[in-house]
Amino acid sequence: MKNPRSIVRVTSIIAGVFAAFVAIIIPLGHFAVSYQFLLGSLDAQADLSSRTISRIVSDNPGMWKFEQVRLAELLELRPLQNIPEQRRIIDLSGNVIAESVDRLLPPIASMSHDIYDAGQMVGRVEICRSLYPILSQTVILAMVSMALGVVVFITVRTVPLRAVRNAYSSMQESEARYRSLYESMNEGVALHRIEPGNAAFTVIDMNAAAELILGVKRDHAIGSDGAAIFGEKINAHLPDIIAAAGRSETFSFEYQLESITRVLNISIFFPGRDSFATLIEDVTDKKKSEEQIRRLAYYDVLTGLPNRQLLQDRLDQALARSARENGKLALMFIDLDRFKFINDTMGHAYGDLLLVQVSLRLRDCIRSTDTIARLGGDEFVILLSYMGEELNAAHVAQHILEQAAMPYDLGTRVVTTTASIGITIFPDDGLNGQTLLSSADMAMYAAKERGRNMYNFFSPEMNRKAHERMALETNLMMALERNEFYLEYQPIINVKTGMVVAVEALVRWDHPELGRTMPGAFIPVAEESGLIVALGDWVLRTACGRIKAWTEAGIRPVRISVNVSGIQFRQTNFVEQVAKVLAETGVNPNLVELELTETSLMENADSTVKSLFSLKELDVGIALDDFGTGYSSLAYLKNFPIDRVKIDRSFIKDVCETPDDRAIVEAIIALARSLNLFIIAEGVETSEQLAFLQARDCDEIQGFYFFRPMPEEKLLELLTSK
Amino acid sequence: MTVIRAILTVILIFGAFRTAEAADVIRINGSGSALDMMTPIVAAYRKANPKVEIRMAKPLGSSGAIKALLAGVLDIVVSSKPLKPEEAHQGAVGREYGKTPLLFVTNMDVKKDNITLQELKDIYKGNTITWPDGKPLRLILRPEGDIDTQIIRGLSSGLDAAVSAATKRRGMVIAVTDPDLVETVAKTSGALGAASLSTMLVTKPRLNPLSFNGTRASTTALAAGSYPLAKEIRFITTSRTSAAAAKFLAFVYSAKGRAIAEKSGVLLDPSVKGAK
Repeated sequence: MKNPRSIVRVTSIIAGVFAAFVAIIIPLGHFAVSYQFLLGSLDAQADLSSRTISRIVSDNPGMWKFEQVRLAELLELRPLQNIPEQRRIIDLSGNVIAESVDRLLPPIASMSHDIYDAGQMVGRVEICRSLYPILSQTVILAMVSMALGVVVFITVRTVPLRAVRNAYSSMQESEARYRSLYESMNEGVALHRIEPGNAAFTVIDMNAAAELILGVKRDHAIGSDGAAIFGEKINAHLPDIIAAAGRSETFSFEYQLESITRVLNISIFFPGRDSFATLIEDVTDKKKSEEQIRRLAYYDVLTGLPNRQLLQDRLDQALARSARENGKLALMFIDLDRFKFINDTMGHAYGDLLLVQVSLRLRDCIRSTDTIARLGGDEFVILLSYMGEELNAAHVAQHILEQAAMPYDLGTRVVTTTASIGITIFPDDGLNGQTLLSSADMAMYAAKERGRNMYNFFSPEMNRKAHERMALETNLMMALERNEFYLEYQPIINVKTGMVVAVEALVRWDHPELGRTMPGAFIPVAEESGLIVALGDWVLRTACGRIKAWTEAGIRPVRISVNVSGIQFRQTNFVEQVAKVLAETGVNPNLVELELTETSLMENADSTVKSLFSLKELDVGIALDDFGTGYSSLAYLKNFPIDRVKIDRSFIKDVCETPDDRAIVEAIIALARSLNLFIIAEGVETSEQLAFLQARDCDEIQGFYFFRPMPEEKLLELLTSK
Repeated sequence: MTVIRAILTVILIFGAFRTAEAADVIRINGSGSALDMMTPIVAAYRKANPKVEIRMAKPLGSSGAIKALLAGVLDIVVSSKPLKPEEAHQGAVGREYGKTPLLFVTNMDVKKDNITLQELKDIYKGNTITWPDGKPLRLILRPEGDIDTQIIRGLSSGLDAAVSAATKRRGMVIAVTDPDLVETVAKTSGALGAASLSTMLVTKPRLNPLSFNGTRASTTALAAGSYPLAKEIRFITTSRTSAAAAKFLAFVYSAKGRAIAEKSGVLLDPSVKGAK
C-alpha cells in the first residue's frame, strides 16, 4: 500500500467530520427548528390573542380591564391544551389584568403582542412556554446522535479502510502470485528502462530463468547497461524497440548471445511507459532439434545430401527463376551401374560406404550453387542452374563419369563402379520439375541400355551434338599428343614494295577421320575445354622454331604473326611462357609478332597494359587483330604499346561497294595514322580492294588476292624465289 | 411610597364624591342574570327619580365587577358569588338579597320540556349527542370559574364528573357571560344551556325552558325545596358608595323594590323580607 498511514489519517478525518456532522448538526438542527417553530407559534398565538383582546377593549374601552371572566376564558382558549403555558394580559402599568398560568420549568421563551384601542397601545398579551421539553428532546437527540455519530465514524472509517486493506491484500496476493509465476517461469523475463536520449537501456529486474539463460546474477544485472548484459549487438535492435514502443506493438527477434554460444528468441513487450520487457527463450536446443527435423525432412540421412523433397523444392525455385530470367538449367539423373550386385555380394554396409563416397565425389564435381540430391538407393540427381551453354552439361557429366569410375577404397575392400547419367534441359525438354525428372530418368535408362558408364541427353539432337563435341574434345586432346596439328602460312605483302614482309602462322588439324580441319571447327572447343592454352603454346613454339630454322637455313627473314587467344593471353604466366619459348627456340624476337583481338585486350584493360609492356620488353611485336569488330577504348588504345592494326576482313570485303565500310576503313586508317600505327588489311581478294587500300596508304596487305595460306614448303619456295 | 399612596387615596375619594354629587350617576354592574333582575327595578326608580342616571354597561361578571367597584369605577355590584376574604378585606361589603332559579333552556327547535339528572350526565359526558328526534344536541358551556358551572356541578358528584369531562371535550362552545349564553342558545339549533329565571322573565328571550326532573323552575318550587338549582343575588358596596347609590339600594330593598324583584323571579332572602 502506498503511504498507508496517510490513507488511514485521511479516512479518519473524513469519518470524524461525518460523525461530528451527525452528532452536532442533528440535535442542533432539531433545537434550532423547534425553537424557531416555538417562537413562531407563540408569536402567532400572541398576535391572534392581541387582536381578539383589542376587539374586547374596543367594545368596552372603559371597563375592559374588569372583564376578567371573558379575558381569562380567552386566555384559556389554547390550541394545545396539553402544553403548559403562561398567558398574561398586562396593562401599560405592568399590572396583570388576566392570566392563565401553568407551571413552567426554566428556561422560558416568550412572545408578546400589543393591545390597542383606537390606535393607542393599552397593554400587551404575553405568552410564555418552557424550553425544557425542546432542550430535553435535544439532549436525548444529541445522545442518540452521538451514538449514531460513533456508528457513522466506525462505518465511514472502517468500511473504506477495510476495502482498502482488502484491495491491498488482494494486490499483495496477486503480486505474490504473479511474482511466483514470474520466478518459476522457464522463460527468462527481464524489465528494462529506456534511458533518456533512447541511446541505451538499463536492466531494472529479471527473474531466475533470465539469470540462468544470460549467465548473470540478478544483483549484478540490475542497474547495469543492457548492452553489458546482452552484448553490444543488442543496441542494433534498440531503434526497433523504441519504434515499437510508440505503437505498443509486441515483436520478437532471434538473438545470438555473444558471451555464450546460445541462440535466444527475445520477445519485446511494453508493460509501461519508457520501459520494456524482454521475454527471453533459449531456443538453442529447439533450433538444433528443428535443424535436425529439417535435415531429416529434407536431407538424406546416409549421405547428408538433400532428399527428394528438398530437390523438388529447389527445382521449383530454379525453374521459376529460369523462367523469369529466360535462363536454362540442366537436370542429371545419375544411377550407379552394378550397385545392386555390389550391395548383394558385399553386404549393405559396404553398399552404404560406397554411396557415401560416391556422394562426396559427386559433390566435388559441381559448383556450390548447384544442387545434388539422393533420391534413394543408388539414384542421385544433380541440378545445374544458369547454364550458359547446354553442352556444358556434357562436360560436367563426363567429369562425373570419370570421377565415379575411379576405384573406391572401402577400408578392407576396393571396388569399382561406373555411373549412367540421363540429362534433360529446361525449357527444351520440359517445363516442370516432374517432367524433367522423369525425362532425365528415361534418358538415364537409355544410357544404361547403350552400355552404361555414359551420359545421355533426353533430346536426340542434343545427344548427338553433345557426343560429337565430347568426341571432338577427346580427339583434340589426343591430337597434340599425336602431333596431328600443323601450321600453314599466309604471306603478308608490303603495299609499296610488293614484297612478302611477313607471314601469319595458321594452325591446321589433320583429323584422322575428317582430314584437314580448319580452326573454326575446333578452336571454340579448344577454348571452352581449356586446350587452347596448350595448343597456343604449341603454335607459338612451332612458329618460332620454324623462323629460327629458316633463318639458319639462309632464308630471307620475314616477320611471323601468331594468333593468341584471349584465354591464353589472360593466363597469369603468359608473358613468362612467351619468354621461355623465345629463349628455348633462340628466335630473334623482332621477327615474332603476337596477334591479339581487341576484345581480349579490352576485357581487363589495366592488366592488359601491364602485360603488353612486359611483352614489348621481350622485343616481340604486337598487332591488334580483327580491329573494328569489338569494343575499343581509344584512351586505352592510345596507351597500348601496339605496333600494328589489322583491319578486319569483314570491312574489306565490301569496302568498294558499301560506303559505310569504306568510311569505316578510312576512319581506321586515319586513326592508326594519327597514333603512328602500321596498318594491315586482311581479306583482300580483289584488285579494287587493293587499289582502294593503296590509295589510302595502307601499309600491308594480306589476302587471297595475293596468297592463300600455304604449307611451309610452298612458303619457302616463295621466299627463296626472285 | 406611603405618602404617595395616601395622596392618591384622597384624590380618589374626593373624585368619587364629586362624581355622585355632581351628576347623580349610579354605576351598577355584576352578574348578567342579576343585572336582568335590576332592569325593571332601575326603570321604576328612575321613574320616581328622573334626574338620577343609572348606568349598567355590559355585565362584567361578579368578580370583575367587584374589582371595578374596589377600583372606584362602579358604585354598586350585583353579585351571584359570595365575597372573597380579600375582597372584603379591601373594603367590599356584601348584603344578601335573594336568589333566582337556574333552569336549563334549549333552542326553540328542540321539542322537549323536561330534563333529568341522568340525561344531563349523559349529555355532559358526551354519551348523548342528539335529541330524541335525532336533531344534533349542542351543549353550551359556561367558563369553569363561572357560578353557573359551579351550581350545575353541585347537583351530584356524577354530574360534576360529567361537567369536567365536557370541559375537556374538544369543540365545545363556551358562553362567557349570561347574555352570551342566552344569545347563543337562542340562535343555535339544538342548543342546550342554563339561564336564570329572572333573565327569562325580564328579557323574555326566545328560549325553550325545561323542567328539571319533572319540576318546573319557579320561586315557589325553590322556596319549597323541590327545585335544586338557584343563583344567589347580593349587593356589594363599599364605604365609598355614594349617597345616591345608597338611596337607590334603599329603594331596592324597599317593599316596592322587593315586589318588582319577586315579580322578576327572585326568591328574596328572609333577612330582606322584613326590611322597610
